[in-house]
Amino acid sequence: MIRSWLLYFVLLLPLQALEFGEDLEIQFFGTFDATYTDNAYLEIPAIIPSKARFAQDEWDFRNSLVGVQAQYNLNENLTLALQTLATEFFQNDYQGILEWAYLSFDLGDDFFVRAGRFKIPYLVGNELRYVGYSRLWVRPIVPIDGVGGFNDYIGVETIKKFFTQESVISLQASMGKAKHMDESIEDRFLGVLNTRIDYGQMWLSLSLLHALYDVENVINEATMTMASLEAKVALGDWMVHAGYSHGQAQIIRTEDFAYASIGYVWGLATPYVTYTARNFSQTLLTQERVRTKNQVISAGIRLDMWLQSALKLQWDHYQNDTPQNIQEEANFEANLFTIALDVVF
Amino acid sequence: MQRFWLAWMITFGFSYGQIVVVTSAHSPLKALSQIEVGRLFLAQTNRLPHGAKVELFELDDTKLKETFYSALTHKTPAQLRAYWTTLIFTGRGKPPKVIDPKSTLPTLFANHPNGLLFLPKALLDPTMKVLFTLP
Repeated sequence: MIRSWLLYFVLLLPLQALEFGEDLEIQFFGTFDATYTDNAYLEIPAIIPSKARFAQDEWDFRNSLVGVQAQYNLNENLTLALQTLATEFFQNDYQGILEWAYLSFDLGDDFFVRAGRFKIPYLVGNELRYVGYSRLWVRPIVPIDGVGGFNDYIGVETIKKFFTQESVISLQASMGKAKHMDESIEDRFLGVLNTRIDYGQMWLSLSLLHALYDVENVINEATMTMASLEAKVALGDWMVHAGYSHGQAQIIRTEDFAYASIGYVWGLATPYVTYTARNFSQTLLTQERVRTKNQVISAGIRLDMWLQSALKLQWDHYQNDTPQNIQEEANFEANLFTIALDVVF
Repeated sequence: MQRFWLAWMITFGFSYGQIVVVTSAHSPLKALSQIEVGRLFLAQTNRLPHGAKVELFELDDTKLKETFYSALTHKTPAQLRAYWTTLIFTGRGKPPKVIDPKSTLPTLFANHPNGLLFLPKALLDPTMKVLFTLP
């Protein structure tokens, strides 16, 4: 354990933004996360989707991570970007994950084409799942399975921006082949359309997603369709975030998901409260869909005492209900306490 | 003289007076609106009005940056940093390059004709053209 702590801090301490000449830039991000829960059945949208359960009544550090991104300008319009991640310092099970790897071509007139490996651009929290500094909260506000269990894809995306007098409209179309958390599920096609409107101190984002996949020995060409709407509004020192996502899928877990959060910028501190509601269902092969309702009330504070780091404290109260009552552990209440330090260089 | 002004401003917390956005004196651009300056310095677009790809720069002066971005974007330094983090790690933009005024400023626009920089009006020199003055 001591070796893990030392490794983590050795990796984190010397970090600073580096520029190698005009064309190569390297940026770092990291999170030290200590989480404590009083219920072992609690399943949360953890940083690493497959590791969503924490040990009961002990501090757990598995959401701690270090990431690095390198961007190399091959010429004025062509850029190569790689983003990689190291996790599991404290489980003695170090993992290196290549998260983003793509070529981006600037066609001019605010039109871009990118090809490679990406996080699926469905819900802001999914794209920036690992970069804690970018968000107000300690964890990304996303469904437990992220995008129905598909969180990364290899493919092509185009981004085009339009400008009106007061607003910026960004249209993004993405298509490719995704990887599912469950290895028995193989994706055939995934497509996402995304529109984002920036207007003054607010933005609004609308996404539509369609996936076609096979479930080994069960079904071929199953489909999943999802739609989401998210917004952020800043009203003076008040910040309001809200979002809704609806998904329909065959076999795999589907989820209705909604959240609302209000924060107040009070100097270097931003206290906030958040409410999240999820209704998800999953077919257990021969049985009917099992429906679960999950509600979370969170209160926390983000402290920006230093420009390149943010200290966050958050308490969450979970309530989980499964009407069918097929599993004892499916009905429970739980508390979660988290201390996180996010850094970015 | 420029170095003296900048060192004096940083050391004594002197008010910057007017802050101006400048480009090369040889640029075909005549002026930028506040909305255009905001879009460029928030990386919402990377193109100048005449179509050239912009190169953004800022001086290594925290107080100057805070004054400029606060007036232009109404974001606190931490909010602005979080905004850039969002863009950088999704590959959708990057913040202006920070330059050292002593070594880089005199030759900046000779090497970067489509460069854009904000600075106190007192630091203007003949290689620069003012496109926008912060109200």
